[in-house]
Amino acid sequence: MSTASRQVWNWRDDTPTRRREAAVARLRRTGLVGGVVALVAGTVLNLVLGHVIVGRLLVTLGALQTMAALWRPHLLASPLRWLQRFGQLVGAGLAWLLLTPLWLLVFVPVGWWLRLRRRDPLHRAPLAAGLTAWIPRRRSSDAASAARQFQDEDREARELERPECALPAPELLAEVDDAGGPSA
Amino acid sequence: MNILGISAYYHDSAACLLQDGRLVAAAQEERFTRRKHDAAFPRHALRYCLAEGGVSRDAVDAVVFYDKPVTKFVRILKTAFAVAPRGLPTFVQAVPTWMRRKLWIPAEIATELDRAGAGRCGRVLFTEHHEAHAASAFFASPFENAAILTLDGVGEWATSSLSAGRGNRLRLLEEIHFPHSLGLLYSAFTYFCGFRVNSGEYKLMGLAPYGEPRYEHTIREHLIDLREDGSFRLNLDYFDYLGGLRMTNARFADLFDGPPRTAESALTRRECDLARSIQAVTEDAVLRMARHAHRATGDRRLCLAGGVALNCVANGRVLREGPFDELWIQPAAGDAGGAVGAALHAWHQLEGGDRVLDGQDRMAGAYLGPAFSDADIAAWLDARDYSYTTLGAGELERDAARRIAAGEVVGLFQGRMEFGPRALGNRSIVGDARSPRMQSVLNLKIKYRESFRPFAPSVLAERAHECFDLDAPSPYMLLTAPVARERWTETKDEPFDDIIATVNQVRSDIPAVTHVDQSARIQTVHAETNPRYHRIISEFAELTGCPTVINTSFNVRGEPIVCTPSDAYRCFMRTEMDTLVLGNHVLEKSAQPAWNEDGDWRDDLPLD
Amino acid sequence: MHYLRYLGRLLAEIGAYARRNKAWWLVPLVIVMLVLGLLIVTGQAAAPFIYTLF
Repeated sequence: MSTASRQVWNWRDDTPTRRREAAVARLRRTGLVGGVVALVAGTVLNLVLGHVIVGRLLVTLGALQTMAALWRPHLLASPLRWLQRFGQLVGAGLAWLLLTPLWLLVFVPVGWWLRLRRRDPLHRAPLAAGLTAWIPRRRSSDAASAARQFQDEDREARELERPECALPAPELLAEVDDAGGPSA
Repeated sequence: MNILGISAYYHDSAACLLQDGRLVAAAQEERFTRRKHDAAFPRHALRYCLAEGGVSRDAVDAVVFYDKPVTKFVRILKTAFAVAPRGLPTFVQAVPTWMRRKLWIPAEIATELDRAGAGRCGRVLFTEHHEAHAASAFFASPFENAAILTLDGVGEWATSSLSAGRGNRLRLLEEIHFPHSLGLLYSAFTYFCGFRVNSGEYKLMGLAPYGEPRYEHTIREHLIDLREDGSFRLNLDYFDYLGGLRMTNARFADLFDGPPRTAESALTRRECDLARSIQAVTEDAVLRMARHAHRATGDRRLCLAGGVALNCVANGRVLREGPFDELWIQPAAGDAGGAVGAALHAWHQLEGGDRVLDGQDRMAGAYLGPAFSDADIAAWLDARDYSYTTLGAGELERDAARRIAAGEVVGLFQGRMEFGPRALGNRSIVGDARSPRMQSVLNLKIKYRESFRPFAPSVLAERAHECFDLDAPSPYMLLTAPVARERWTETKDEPFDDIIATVNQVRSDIPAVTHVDQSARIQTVHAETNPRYHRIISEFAELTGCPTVINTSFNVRGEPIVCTPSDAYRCFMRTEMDTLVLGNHVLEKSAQPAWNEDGDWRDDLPLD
Repeated sequence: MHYLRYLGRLLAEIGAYARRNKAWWLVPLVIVMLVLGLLIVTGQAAAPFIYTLF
């Protein structure tokens, strides 16, 4: 079998048995990690920080989870799913909790300030009659710019008022005409 | 030199491999993960490409990503500033994904390459989104010189661009910037008509011929200020995509007689008229841009890419009415093709690699995905006790043609999987285009949908003129053209209230592929790129005199096109397909063991 | 941690963007967002443990 098609078959030709085995392995791994972390955290709380009750509770839960992960991983499926969902919920809640202040403290005031100064970063205003909405590309990209994750903005080009149907400046075309072959 | 191209995180993730400038492999992630339009990092596609190219450890010279993430992030922040205090929900949704994934692309690439066993990567490069589209259109085309137009929703800032291509060089000349976007305008109407943005645009286009353009004037007056040179500005007062989670707002609804259509509810005359109107405006905009591109560059040839270039009706008009002699459209015009463009850009523009100009395009018929050998398929079938017959070359094509002519629905799985949104004969379901009942059979028993769209025809390239008014090749199903006049039959117009009855009406002697406006979305089949499919249709033509068959993608509604023989077999058994051709093996439904599945598999597939 | 190696590169890119495009506002904003993003991710990952604790 060709290497490429064998690769593809391996991922795609999954039988229910193989899928179950993979799921069990995943559960075992997640369960073990969580269980051991809980064991360690519980021990630290208990012995170092002096939180005896919480520490013992955590050690017990950690031990239970570790044992389940080792011998009966499928028992962990439902609790872990719920914990994951809970985690996602907490993540979404935290996102709102942390990003709303940023929005109110930075984005809303800056937005108002921009509007007061009649500046629109999106250039939504209607275009005067007789002008073109095409924005010329005055800089070409090169090897150095291809290494960067951003492009250099040409804000001036956005403000240029060029008549409708204006053609691009001949020097832009000349850049490729000089480099490329003869016209076909 | 090994260059990998990657597109990811928006829609249709994909990867491709370029070896010394030759496109060796390209595939979309959805085909492997079986999640339609999968936007996850194309881990499986990447592994496949590396395997297909036999790339050894530490041998990847460059990985090119198809956009500039930091600029895109800045655009999102600036949009937030521009719409605040509105836009908080969008902001809260967007920021965590940017912080967690989208700003860490070099890290993600390094991890995935390492996991795939490719070791370390030479360089990680980033092209601009429209630069990648333009490169995918021009460097993959057969043209030495051409004008290039790219049109889509949005990349970094650009939503449309015009470039000039000369030999192995490409220069962007002009752009139109976000939020003014032809793609987003079309998507807004897609949303408003109750279809899914980023996948339902095709349906809107297919709906257009049923309607009248009675909203065209309203659109031009209120929504888009379209200039003579094809440039435009949108009136953002009517759209909600900047600060909201929807595409259009209440003012838009007021303009078009009420709220948006809810998904899956009955289609009314309003939606048809809206579709026709926005289609007319789009075609006009694309035509004006094409004329401007012609004036600006003086070229006789045009290349197109970007999601809007999948609008084959507009493409057909550009070819017929536009100023260009020849037109080439990147088959993966959407974001998946950005991966190919990114890699081609690095090879030609940055490395100075020469182009091969032999009259053929560089996409190899878009057959760039995994193939499976007959021996492997036989071993797989034997292991499962599935019944099959193996036929020799020539015999197989004759058998398939005979079955199609007898009215059977044949699943055709052969050779390398297609790259891009269309199935082009290697992962296709094929039927008899002459049969008046084939349209509804395919829709109801195979695809499990009721469609107002007819199917697309595959026609022998050299005999296309017998069926259609088309004098250019259309190997990638990206052009529509009228069915030849002499094939039309008399029809009486049905009352509008039954749109399905309207589409099922016989309008020509190839009714299953003829739309209500007598047009068809054509694939010309060429012996050079797909000899077996060409042979099957030739045999069919010999039997029936008709050089065209129906070609629809090998999948059911909501499912990506099949990738492996096991995907194909599963789809075959789930539907009422009669015959499955797997390489050289022919499987008859009646001879297969009973197919048992837990639950209704249709519940697992989202509606598209 | 794997991502730490790339943090430097990301910050350098953001800095270069700010310098070349005179958009210094971006630097503090991205740093704040990265910190908040880290808090959200940690919160999400640690939630099961916090849950077992309280």
